[in-house]
Amino acid sequence: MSYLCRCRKGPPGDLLRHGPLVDAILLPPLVQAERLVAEHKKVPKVSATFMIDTGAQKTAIDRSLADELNLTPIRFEQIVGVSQKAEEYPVFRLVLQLRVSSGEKSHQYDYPTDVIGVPSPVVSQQQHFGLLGRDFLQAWRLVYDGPSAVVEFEIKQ
Amino acid sequence: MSRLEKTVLEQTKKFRAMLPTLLRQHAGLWVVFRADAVVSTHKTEDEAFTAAIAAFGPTGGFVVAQVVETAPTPLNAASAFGLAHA
Repeated sequence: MSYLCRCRKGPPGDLLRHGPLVDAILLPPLVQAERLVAEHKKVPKVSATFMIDTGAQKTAIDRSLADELNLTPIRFEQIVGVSQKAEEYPVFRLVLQLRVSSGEKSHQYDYPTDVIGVPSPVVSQQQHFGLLGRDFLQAWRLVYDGPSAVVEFEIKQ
Repeated sequence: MSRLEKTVLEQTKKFRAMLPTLLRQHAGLWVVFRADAVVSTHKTEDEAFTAAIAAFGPTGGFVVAQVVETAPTPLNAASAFGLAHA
């Protein structure tokens, strides 16, 4: 079974200007969501737009999104950002929910993953709140069709 | 940074300091690390995370990490090349 996800299709030149953008919903990991349900609490979720970035080794989100989900870091990693110095960044475990199609059917696909939480100014200056990096892409087949302005990625399970 | 995050950061640094020893014992495995010690070892990150939540809850101040050599990672290619913004 394969699941296909398509990036936003905008007006001509949009892909060049903004890069491949994909809309997703972020959720706490399943084990945490189940605890919340058992405690009769609402499971938080937030919408976010990601840019697919083959230049990024790690997937990253605006730190404020992790705060909205009430997540706690599971570790810190040393990341070299715009300061050119290695700094400690929190890593969060969460579920990235994507709208995918499989054959004729369209549904949500839950992808558990780790993300680096970065301060807002680093990732939020453009139209996205996160970067889908190579750690995410290693599980997906990515097709970037510039002439058609179509970007899609597919996972097989 | 909250008190809980400071705890996770401290435990991350303790975990890194113990890596040479851990690599001899648990290379490649995922561990739950808390209170300066390995609590449990697991084959996958999901297993380790689930065990950590079950044992300590989401605010337990634990670290989930793989026992591998690590090095600072560029955020993206732009930062690797010294550009200010992607």
